[in-house]
Amino acid sequence: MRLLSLITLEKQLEPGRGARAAVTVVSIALALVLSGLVILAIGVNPVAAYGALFSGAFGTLYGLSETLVKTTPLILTGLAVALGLKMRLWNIGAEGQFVIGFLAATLIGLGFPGLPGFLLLPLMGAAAVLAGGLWAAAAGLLKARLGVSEIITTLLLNWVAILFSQYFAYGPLKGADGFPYSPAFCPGACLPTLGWGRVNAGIFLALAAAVILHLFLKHTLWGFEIRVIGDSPKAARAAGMGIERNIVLVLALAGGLAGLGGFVEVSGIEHRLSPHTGLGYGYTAILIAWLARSQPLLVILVAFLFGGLYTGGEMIQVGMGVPVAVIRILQGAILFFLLAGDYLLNFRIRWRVGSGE
Amino acid sequence: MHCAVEMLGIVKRFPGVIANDHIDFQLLPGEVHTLLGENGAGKSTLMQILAGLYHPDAGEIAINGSPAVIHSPREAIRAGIGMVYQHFMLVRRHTVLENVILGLRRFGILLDYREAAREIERISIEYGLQIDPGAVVWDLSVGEQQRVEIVKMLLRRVKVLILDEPTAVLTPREAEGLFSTVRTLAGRGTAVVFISHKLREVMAVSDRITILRRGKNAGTIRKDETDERDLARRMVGREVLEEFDRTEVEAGGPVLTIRDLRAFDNRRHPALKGVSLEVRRGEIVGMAGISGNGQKELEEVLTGLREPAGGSVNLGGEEIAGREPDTIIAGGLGCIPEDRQGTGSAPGLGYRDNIILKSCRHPPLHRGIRLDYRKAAEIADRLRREYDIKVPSLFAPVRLLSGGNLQKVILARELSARPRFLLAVHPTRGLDIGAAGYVRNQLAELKRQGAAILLISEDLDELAGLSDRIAVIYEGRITGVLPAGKADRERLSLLMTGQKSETGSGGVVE
Repeated sequence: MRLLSLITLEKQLEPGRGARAAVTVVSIALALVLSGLVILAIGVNPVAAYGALFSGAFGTLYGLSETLVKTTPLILTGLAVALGLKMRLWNIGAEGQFVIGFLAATLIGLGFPGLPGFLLLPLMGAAAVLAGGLWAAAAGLLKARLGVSEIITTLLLNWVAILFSQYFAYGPLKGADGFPYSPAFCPGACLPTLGWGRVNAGIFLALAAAVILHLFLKHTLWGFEIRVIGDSPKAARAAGMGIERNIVLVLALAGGLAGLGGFVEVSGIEHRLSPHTGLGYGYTAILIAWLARSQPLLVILVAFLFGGLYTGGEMIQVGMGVPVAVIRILQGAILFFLLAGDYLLNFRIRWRVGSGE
Repeated sequence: MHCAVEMLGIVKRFPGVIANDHIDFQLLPGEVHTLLGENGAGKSTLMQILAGLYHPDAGEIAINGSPAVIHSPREAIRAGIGMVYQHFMLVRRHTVLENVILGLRRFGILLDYREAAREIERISIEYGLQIDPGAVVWDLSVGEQQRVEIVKMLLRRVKVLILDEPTAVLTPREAEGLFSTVRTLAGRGTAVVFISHKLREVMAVSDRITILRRGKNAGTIRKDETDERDLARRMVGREVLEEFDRTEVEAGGPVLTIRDLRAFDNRRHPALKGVSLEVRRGEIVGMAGISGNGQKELEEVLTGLREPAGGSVNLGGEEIAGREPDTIIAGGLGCIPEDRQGTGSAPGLGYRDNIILKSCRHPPLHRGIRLDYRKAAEIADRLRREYDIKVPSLFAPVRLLSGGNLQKVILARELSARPRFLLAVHPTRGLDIGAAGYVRNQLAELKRQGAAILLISEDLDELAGLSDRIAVIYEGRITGVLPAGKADRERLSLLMTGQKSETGSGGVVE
């Protein structure tokens, strides 16, 4: 392929060591530059904006607490996508699984207002996990039995979940005042806070989930099977591993994780159902899982950084008039450059002076 | 006269091993030059550098006297060098025609398929390579796929054609056809590099032979200066005696009984039309037959990867036809599959992981929900030493291993499970003398230990040397079963092409 007559891209079999890491870093850098240009176009100094974003998200105790608040659901949805990726399954449905978990937890929370917290909360959590799990398992079943692409099914199920949730917000769960917001949770349905801003026990759940998933993948037979199926379904099948069973199970578990994210969000922060069109955590999760190379422990780190992005972004919107949409641009740009970079890892650039072979 | 290709001082290193150690190589125009050597000697690597797939760490290349630097397969082809690889590079979902013209500008933006088909037809006739442009690649047998690869190169008008173990997947008759193709090409001034282990063929087709040993050039000689024995010695650096170890073992009761087995192929045509066969304890039953007569489907049915349409397969008292692979494996069936990189191994995973592919589900590796990776590493290491498998580490992806080493990994995995029945499909295809002899000895040893073995192979000498009885499969049926003593090449060839055996008992279990 000739771009200009000066540089040629040619295929190479072996990307150099460290090239992967370089691609990640450069992608982020380029994305920052691109978004910086957009910020500049609005009339704000990008360096100042980024500085404010960073210090807002990580520089103050309050900012840090808000970052952790955002990190919690991002870890869980990030894990939901990463787990699928380990088996080459694209779980685009983390958003919908999150929402359905959110809804299920709400229904239980509002349905049993008398129960004490230590009974009600686990019940809500279990309901959320179950709901998210079933939601994803449906897509898994279609893939396993009929070969229907999970990219499509999980994506479409997102809308179903969102609309379903909105139906409840506008309908059966509508508050007495007529607005599409459910009544607030009783204290028993709320995750205990830790005395630091809005940070609540959900963060421990998220961290535990990541660690448990990591250990699971690393040490169990099931983790091994997932790895084998992800690399070579044919060899896995010939070796006696159950492909179809695993597709459903892995997606179900992934959905459960995202559903747990929904529980943690409604029970720790929102305390009520509202007519959101989703919060975007499920889609950001794809980016997080990709950046973290599907490693659960790295998901924690990347989710934390993205949590900071969300928080900082909100702050500079208020403080400097930079629309929060710029953060979305930044995220999109990161994904774009990352994918391009990963692809270009397959090539080498040759500089040529003059033409000819 | 310039050399068609000259390679000087080529060095190529991979993690843990020097594949090419300062190799010089000259190729004259219009000659058939064979690269001979054991597995891992560096032959494929050297040619892959010439074909643009790898870059040498040091050394120079000259084409027709002028220095050349080849950065990619595309540049290599433009320089007139084409290679047909041991592991095919075809798009399995596309048709033959689409694969052959892939990447060419010659047929315009709108892809003049008809013109392309005509060109393919012309080449097919001119070089005697039978292919159907409309067939979809994943349906073709391995031999047919190879023909597509060759036609692909011929269409690109290469002046140097490199063939990497081409006859590994061809029947004796097809191999003959390939040799005459090669001779035609050479006669027209195209140089052909033949990478091969099969000494008889090397002697039949080459003009000159270069031997590679452990990454170094161990000499170039003309065919008339050497013979098979001499070549074998140069290859391994010591006297090699070809000997199959065939001990007479008292055969026991039947272990695997196939009765009237029927199955369809991927095109929903009948591929097995009532196969009946019995394999007993302590015996090796060989199965001869031209590739494409039902062997693939038989392998798949026996290993649980294909649903049979009728009939029964009984393993040690249990009916296994139509059961899941894990049940069949648990019943004591082991398999060395034809497709080493697809079904036989997970190419992206490391050596340790591939060794435990089947044993991972049972103790001692599987305890509770844990997988004991440390034990796995112990087992992998032990097997590595026992089977002399050359891997740079326990974790390097096995797709980087040479064909022979990969086969050893599969062998180690299957045999260490002590199967009571082993299905070995073309187990020595593409392996050098040393490795092939090793595999055969392992099979003989397994038989001595009382396993029942079904050996599907195209190497008639191998079948004759190892089997106690030889069955011949043709168009989905067994046309005859001969005791080893009575199985000569002639009789087998007759059965392989459909003539019933003299006793007229074709297809019936004896």
